[in-house]
Amino acid sequence: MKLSIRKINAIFQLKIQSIFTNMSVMVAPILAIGFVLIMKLSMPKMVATGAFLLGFGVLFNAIMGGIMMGSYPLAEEKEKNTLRVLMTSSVNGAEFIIGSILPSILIIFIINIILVPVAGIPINKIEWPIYLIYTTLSGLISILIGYIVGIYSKNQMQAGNLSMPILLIFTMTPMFQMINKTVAHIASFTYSGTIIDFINDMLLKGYSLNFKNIAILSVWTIAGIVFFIYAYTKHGLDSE
Amino acid sequence: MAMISMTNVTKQIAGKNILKNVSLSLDANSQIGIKMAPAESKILFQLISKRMQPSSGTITTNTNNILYELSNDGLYDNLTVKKYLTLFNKIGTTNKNISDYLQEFSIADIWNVKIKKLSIDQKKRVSLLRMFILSPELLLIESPLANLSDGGIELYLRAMKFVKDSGITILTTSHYIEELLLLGTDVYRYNAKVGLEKTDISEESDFEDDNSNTDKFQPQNVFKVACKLADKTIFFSPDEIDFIESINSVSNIRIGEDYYPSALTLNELEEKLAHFGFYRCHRSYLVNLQRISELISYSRNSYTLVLKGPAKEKLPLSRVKVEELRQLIEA
Repeated sequence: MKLSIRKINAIFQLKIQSIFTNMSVMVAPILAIGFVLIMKLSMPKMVATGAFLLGFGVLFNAIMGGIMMGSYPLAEEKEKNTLRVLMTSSVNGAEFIIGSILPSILIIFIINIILVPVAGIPINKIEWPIYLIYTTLSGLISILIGYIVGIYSKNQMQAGNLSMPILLIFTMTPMFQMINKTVAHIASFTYSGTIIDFINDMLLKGYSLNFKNIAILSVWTIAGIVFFIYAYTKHGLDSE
Repeated sequence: MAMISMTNVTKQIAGKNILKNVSLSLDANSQIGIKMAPAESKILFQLISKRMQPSSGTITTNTNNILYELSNDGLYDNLTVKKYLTLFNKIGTTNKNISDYLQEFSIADIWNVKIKKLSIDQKKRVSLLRMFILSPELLLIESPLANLSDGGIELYLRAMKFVKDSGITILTTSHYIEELLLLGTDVYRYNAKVGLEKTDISEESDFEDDNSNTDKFQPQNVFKVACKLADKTIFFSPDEIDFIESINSVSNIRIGEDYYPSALTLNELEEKLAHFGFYRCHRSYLVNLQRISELISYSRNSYTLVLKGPAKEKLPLSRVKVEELRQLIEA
């Protein structure tokens, strides 16, 4: 499959424009910043620590936002028959996917940076390279999950129904971790659990790279890519 | 050399024939229309553009530069016309200067308007320009004039002429033959039993000459239409016939679901059947007035006669004939 930078660039610009005009996609990043601000101002300092606020914001932005940015626009393109027009205009699936993943990653990346000062954390307390790699990677995993949902749904309504349970499970990981030790242990093997553990360790104990976190994120990334490729080759983007 | 040639193409999906025995040869820079159902049209487009393989038969295309548009294709509502077309200009390889074509496609006044604010007439022209800037050699369009207003049809046809004059071969399909007649093309009909047939459209002037012959009319009280089938000749009473259609210069008598070819031409039949209540509603059709149940007007320029019976057969009615027909029926 040949990739044309010119076409990827055209899709990239189209997606950037449509993300800013489609509120259903921007709602998660905006909510992430909004909630963190509201919680910081309204909750007692004992509960709303920097680690809690940042963890919450990153979950909303990278996990919930990622899944929504993957599933909704793809389902919308299918629902409105615009994807077919692109596909018949010599744009291939890979060009479309690359061109549409890049703007979403970019937004998740930028919002993850903005969340740090919003949560009131001093900039020098963040291990920037690891923080950005981990959070961006979890954004990518979420976007891939979102695309898989998008491939299996025919319209935005269906995409919403399918993505809601997945979205809740991953976004509410920290709450599950409070239930008991067994659930907390299981949750630590999800990519969202890893991100929360990393943020807590980094801000409360000082973080050093550990094998478990890297292994979990790598396995999730590879699994995300494999499942995505499976769904894509089996159903294509626009299965009718 | 032919742009596409299809020989006995059959496509089955889930054990059901969608297209059967389609043979077609389309020359470069020509324009034809095919009457077929939307589902058939979608499959035909996918076969021609090689997105789907036929179940049997061969398709050879002389170009890989094929674009197709289905009637429910969408545009990006939130973009302006300018941004939308610029996007596709970037995707295309030829990089045209779009502003040179705004006049031909009559969209200069909506250049900076968001697509969601456009009327369907305007959207169709934007869509046509989008395909034009991708410089296809062959363009397949489903029902381009459906739901368009009279003014919209006129502007669309002008844009389409420009596209054709630029050397692009165009194939349109529609469920209604009158839409294809408005496009002014050679018209084929797809019939699930026999495949593609060319519909004869004689020149309007010939037709007027025939009308003058009615003065010489001789009353005939008994007349039966003879149809030769294999070694038998079948005689039909005029009141049995639903309508007569001219296909490939042969007059076909339609009775119920079946067609019977007659040796007489449509003009001869018209002359003989005029006094049995038959009326030439269109160049290719002679209808039994007793069988008409409805007259539908889809737009000011196109009328359709619906016949009685379970098939609810639809025939085109020329605009100029509407008044004449009304007088005949109401007199």
